[in-house]
Amino acid sequence: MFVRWICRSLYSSLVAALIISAPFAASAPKESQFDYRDLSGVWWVNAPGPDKLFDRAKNGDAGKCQTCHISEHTKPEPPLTSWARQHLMIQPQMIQTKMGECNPIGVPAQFWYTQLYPFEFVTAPGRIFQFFEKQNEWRVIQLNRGHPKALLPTSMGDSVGKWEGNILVVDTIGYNGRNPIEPVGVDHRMSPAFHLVERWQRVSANEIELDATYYDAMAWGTEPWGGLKKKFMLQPKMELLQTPCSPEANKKFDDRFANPSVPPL
Amino acid sequence: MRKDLMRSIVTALSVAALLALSSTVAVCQEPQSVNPAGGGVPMTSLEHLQAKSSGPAPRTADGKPDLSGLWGPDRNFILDISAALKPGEKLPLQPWALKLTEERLSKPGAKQEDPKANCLPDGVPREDPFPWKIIQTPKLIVFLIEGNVHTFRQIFMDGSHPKDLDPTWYGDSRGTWQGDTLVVDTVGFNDRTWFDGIGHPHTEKLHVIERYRRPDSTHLEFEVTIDDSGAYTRPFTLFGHSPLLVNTEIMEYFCVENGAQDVSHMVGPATVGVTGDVHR
Repeated sequence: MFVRWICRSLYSSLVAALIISAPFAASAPKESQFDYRDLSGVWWVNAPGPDKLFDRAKNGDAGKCQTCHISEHTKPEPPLTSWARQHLMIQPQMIQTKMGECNPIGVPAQFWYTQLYPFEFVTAPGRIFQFFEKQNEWRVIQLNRGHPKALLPTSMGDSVGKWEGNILVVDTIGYNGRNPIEPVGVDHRMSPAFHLVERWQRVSANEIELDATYYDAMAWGTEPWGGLKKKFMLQPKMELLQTPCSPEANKKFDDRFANPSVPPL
Repeated sequence: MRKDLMRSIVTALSVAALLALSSTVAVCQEPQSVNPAGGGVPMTSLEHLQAKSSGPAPRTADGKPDLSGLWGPDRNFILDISAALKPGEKLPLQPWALKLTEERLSKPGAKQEDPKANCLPDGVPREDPFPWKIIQTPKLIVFLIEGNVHTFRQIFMDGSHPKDLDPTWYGDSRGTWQGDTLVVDTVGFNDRTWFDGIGHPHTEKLHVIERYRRPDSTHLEFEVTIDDSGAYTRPFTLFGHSPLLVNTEIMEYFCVENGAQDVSHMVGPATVGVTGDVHR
């Protein structure tokens, strides 16, 4: 009789525990239930917020946007070659113009915009697609081949990835040299020799880290520019918004975030 | 004899090395189809790149038809969507919409107002004469668009339309499977796109229902039902087909490099009437 009472109590307790814990099981993945090599999902720099971009800006890190006006590298940029000083400098008045003209942004410049706009990784057989909410650009990271021998230069370059353990190493070359490297804080374009190496690592169920290094033999010689490290949080309930480029959309962005004279929100 | 044996061993090792080397070269050599641009072969003719042999439509791990692939455009969705109606049908334009379309066809300079000519998104269901790609996952299907603004369109497979939608170029698309048919329901459009090169308009009341089927491995069939009580007197349905393309990939294309300066070159009316007749 006593044993039956104990068993009945134990059984009831277990059922109650299951019922109580069920709602929590439907939230973000648990630490023990994710694949280190699965980068799929929407990622953003900080805490999730409401859907609308400008509402997010009030509640998340972008609301302060302390780094909106400066480059995010922790290491100083290598000195420019004399050739770069003659051929790659961007005149200050061109920066606003470029943003207004809806020119392609590409990588690594898109990483700067992740302060304000999330991105999404979508995995397909043999490749990973990366969708950026800013200007709704996208790129493909090929996993099943190396760089072609003869590359037609493009704005996005040609990205190939391989896994080194649990780190996705993405190597990008083949740029056409037209893009700024970063929207602010860097006063010159990349050269056609620009070479981007990214290391993406999912360090937990809800966090990935990016460690990016820039190489540009024509701009910096043999010295790389590293020190770009960013962390992103998984946003399970977030969907990328439509933000295709248009002059009015860019002006709205400039007025709100890119104008140094406008104080942070 | 020892010399003969050594010679034989060396010969055998040399042959083995050559075989290994040639195998390595064969494995490591880039496939002939890789495009110097980073994708498929340079696109000289889409017809030339259509898949020749067909089989059953592939399926995903969860048993759904797999619509993934690179698809060719349907020319009936480029210049005049009337061409995508059933034979004998006409577009049921309201009088103001008919008048606006006629103005876009005939008024000097009106073509320069085409959003496409100003590097703005095409919206739904307008196409470009370029390939497009479907990426399919259980929770999200993405259409990659090579032309126009080289962007992507998202079809969310879970959830319903949000309540307070901001009008957007492609609207908010939610997909479900009905048997082997992907049904995409889209609302929340802005009114800034043209349905086609002719200039058939729509309003923010636009509600689009698309149905995609893959009857075999090399064909995609779709129906697009347009319901816009602000511009059309009744719903109507367009019918489309896309062939699978092989040995190529989406190429990089940015309208901003070509589009803005092309606007000034756009003169003259189109040659297709606005009454819904298709000049064939």
